[in-house]
Amino acid sequence: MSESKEWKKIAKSKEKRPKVQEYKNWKELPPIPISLPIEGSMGITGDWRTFQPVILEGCNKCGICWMYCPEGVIKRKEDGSFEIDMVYCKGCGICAKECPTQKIKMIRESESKDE
Amino acid sequence: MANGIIEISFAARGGQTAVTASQLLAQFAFDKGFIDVIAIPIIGAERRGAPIWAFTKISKNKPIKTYDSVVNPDYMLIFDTSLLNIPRIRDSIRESTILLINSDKSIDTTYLPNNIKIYSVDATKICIESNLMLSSGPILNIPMLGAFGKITGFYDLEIMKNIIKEEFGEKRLPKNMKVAEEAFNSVKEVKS
Amino acid sequence: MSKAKEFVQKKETKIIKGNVAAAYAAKSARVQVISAYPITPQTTVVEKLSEFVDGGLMPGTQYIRVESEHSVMASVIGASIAGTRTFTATSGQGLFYMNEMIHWAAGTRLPIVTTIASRGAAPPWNIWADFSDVINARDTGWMSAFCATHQEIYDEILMSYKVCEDHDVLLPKFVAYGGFILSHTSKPVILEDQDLVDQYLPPLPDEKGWPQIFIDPDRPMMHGNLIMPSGFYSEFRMKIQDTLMKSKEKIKVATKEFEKIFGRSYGNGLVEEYHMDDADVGIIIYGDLALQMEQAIDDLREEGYKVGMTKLRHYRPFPTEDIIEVAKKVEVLGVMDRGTAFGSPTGGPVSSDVLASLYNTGITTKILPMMAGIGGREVNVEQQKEEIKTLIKMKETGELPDNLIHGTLWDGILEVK
Repeated sequence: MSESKEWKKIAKSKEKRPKVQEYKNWKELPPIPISLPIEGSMGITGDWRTFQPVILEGCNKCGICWMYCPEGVIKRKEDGSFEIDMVYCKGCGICAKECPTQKIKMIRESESKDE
Repeated sequence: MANGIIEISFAARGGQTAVTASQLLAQFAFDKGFIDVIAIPIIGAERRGAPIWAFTKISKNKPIKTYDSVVNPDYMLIFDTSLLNIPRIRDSIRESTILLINSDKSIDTTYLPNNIKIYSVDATKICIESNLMLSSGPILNIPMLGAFGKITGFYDLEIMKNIIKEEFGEKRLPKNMKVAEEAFNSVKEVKS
Repeated sequence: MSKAKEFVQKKETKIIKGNVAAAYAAKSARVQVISAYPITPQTTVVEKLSEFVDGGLMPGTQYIRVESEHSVMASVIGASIAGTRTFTATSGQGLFYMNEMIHWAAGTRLPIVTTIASRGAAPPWNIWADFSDVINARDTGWMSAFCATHQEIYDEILMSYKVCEDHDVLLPKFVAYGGFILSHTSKPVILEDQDLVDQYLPPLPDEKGWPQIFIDPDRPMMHGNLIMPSGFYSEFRMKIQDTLMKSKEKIKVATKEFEKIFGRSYGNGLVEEYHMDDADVGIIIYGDLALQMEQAIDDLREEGYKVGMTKLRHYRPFPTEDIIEVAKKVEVLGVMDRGTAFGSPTGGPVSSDVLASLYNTGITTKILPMMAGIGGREVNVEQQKEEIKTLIKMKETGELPDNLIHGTLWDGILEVK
C-alpha cells in the first residue's frame, strides 16, 4: 500500500515529480526499477571538467554539436546560435571532435576567462 | 467398460482423418448427454500412411480422470483392413471388443479372438461415390462415425448434422450428411 | 467490425483441446496485444487466436507475427510497458530461446501472462509432456502454475491476470500444462459469460497506460538502466523475492474470488488436497499426472488403503507453508516430478524444494523423491497405483525401496528383466 502512494508521486506530470531522486531505504523504492529523467540527476557534473569547450567566431550553426552532446547541455538560442551550459558540461570534448568546421576548441579550465 | 466409462480406439493410417473422428465422436456423445468425454490423439511425427492411433473415452455418469491410452477397447474402429496385418494393432483387440471395419470384402478372422463381434462398412466406396476426397484419399471419418452411430446408438444422425454444421459450415453439410446416412444404412454385422 | 461488436461470449460448454481453451481464455480476458511464433506443441494456441483476430472476434486486439521467440517476448514487453494486457504462448526450446527476455519481463515488473505447453528439452529431440522447460525458467522472477485439466487452463489464465495485474504484485506468470496430453486432447470446457469475466478481472489499462508503468512523453520514465553495485540493484532483486512470497496471499484471494463468481474451486490456489485428511501415505504431484492420480487414489481407497494426494498448483511462489502442513498429515510422502533438475539434491525440481521446505521443522515424515513421465513417457493409472503401493510398502517396512537412483525412484524406466 505504501508503494502505491509512492507511485502516485511518480505518475504525476513531469513538473510535479520530486526533484531529487534519492532513496535512503529500500522500502522507499518504486516497485519497478526505473529512473525519472530530471535535470542533473547525477549532480553538478560541471565539476568534472578539466577542459572546457569554447565556441569560436565563424560557427555556421549546423547543430552537429547539439546532436552529439551526450549530456544534452548544448542549447540552441533564439538566433540559431548555440550556447553550452557550463553548470552541467563535463568537458568530454565530443562536440569539439565532431564539429565539421573545427570551431569548437577545448581549453584548459585554468585558461578559462571565467576563472 | 471398466468403471462405466466406454473406451473406443481408432486404428488408421495417417491422412485417413481418424484424429478428427476421435474428436467428433466425443462431441457427438457429449451432445447426446454423456456427462464427460475425452478425445486422445497419439501424436508423433506423423507421416501420411503410417499407422496411427487415437482414442475416445465417453462416460454416462462420472467424470473421466485419465489421459492414458485405451488398452482394453470396448469398441475399435479400423479404418483400413490392411491394419489388421500389423501385430501391434491385432494384439490390442480383446475378446469383448466390438470391431467396426472399413472393408469392401470379407474379413479374415483367422487371427482374431473367437466369437468376436464384427461390423463392416465400405466407407471408402461411399466416399469415392460422393467424391469426398483429400489428396491422401477418402475422408473416412464421417461415414465411419455414421456407421458407428448406427451400431451403438450413442448418437443419431440429427446430432451429427448439428455438430458437422457447427464445425465445418453449412456449405459442407449436404455432402457429409449424405455419406453419413449411406454408412448409417449400409453397415452390417459380419458372421465370423 | 460490426460483426465483432455483436460477438460476446455467452456461457457455454465446448469440447475443445487444451490449447484452444488457452486461446479462449486469452479472448475472454480481452488481451490487447498478442505476439506469436509457432512451436510444437503450443502452435495451435496462437493459431486459434489468429483465427479469432482475423474473424473480428477480438476487436482492437493487435496480433504481431515476429521472427523468433526472443522477439516474441521483446515485443510483448514493449506492449506491456505501453500499457496493454498482453499474451503469448510457447514451449520447450522456444522458451529457452526467449530466456534473456524472460528476465527482462520480470525485472521490469510487467504483468505478462504466457502459457507453456510443456515439452522435453532437446537433445535428444522431444516434443512431448515434460515440465523441464518451465522449470528452466524457475529463477527468473516469474510466477509459475501447473494445470491438471482443460478447464483449469482456461480458469488459471483468468486468475493469473487477476494476480499479475494486482498493484502490489506486478510480476509475469507462466501457466504450464503437459504438451499433447492436455494441449491436443479434447474435453468439455465451460467458457464463461463475458460479463462475469469482465467483472472478475481488473479493468484494462486506459490509454494513458497502467498507473505504475507507462510510456508517456509528458511523464518520461527510463526502464532498464544501469545500477552500480553501490546503488539499489540488490534491493530491487530483494523486492522481487519479497513480492513473490507475498503474492501467495494474492493467489489465495484470487482463487477464492474465482470460486465465488464461477463456482469452480482449486484448493487454496497454491495446493489442492485430495483425501489427505485421514491418509497415512500421500503424494505431492502436479500437472496432468495429478488428475490421473486422483483416479488411482479413488481405486486404492476402494481397496481399503488410506492414501491421499496433494496437487501442487503453483511452483513459484513455492507454497512452503502448505507443504509443511501436508507433510505433517502423513507418515510417508512421495513427491512426483515430471521434469528434471540435474545435479540437484534429488534430481527432481519439486522434490528438492519439498525437502528444503521441511528442513528445520522437526517433521519426521519419510520423503521419497520420484520421477515419471519424462519426455512424455506414458504413465497409466495402473502404474500410478503401483507408485502409491511403493509408498505404502515403505510405511510398512520402514525401509526405502532398493532400486533408487541417487535417492530418487525413477519409475517406468525401461529395464531388461
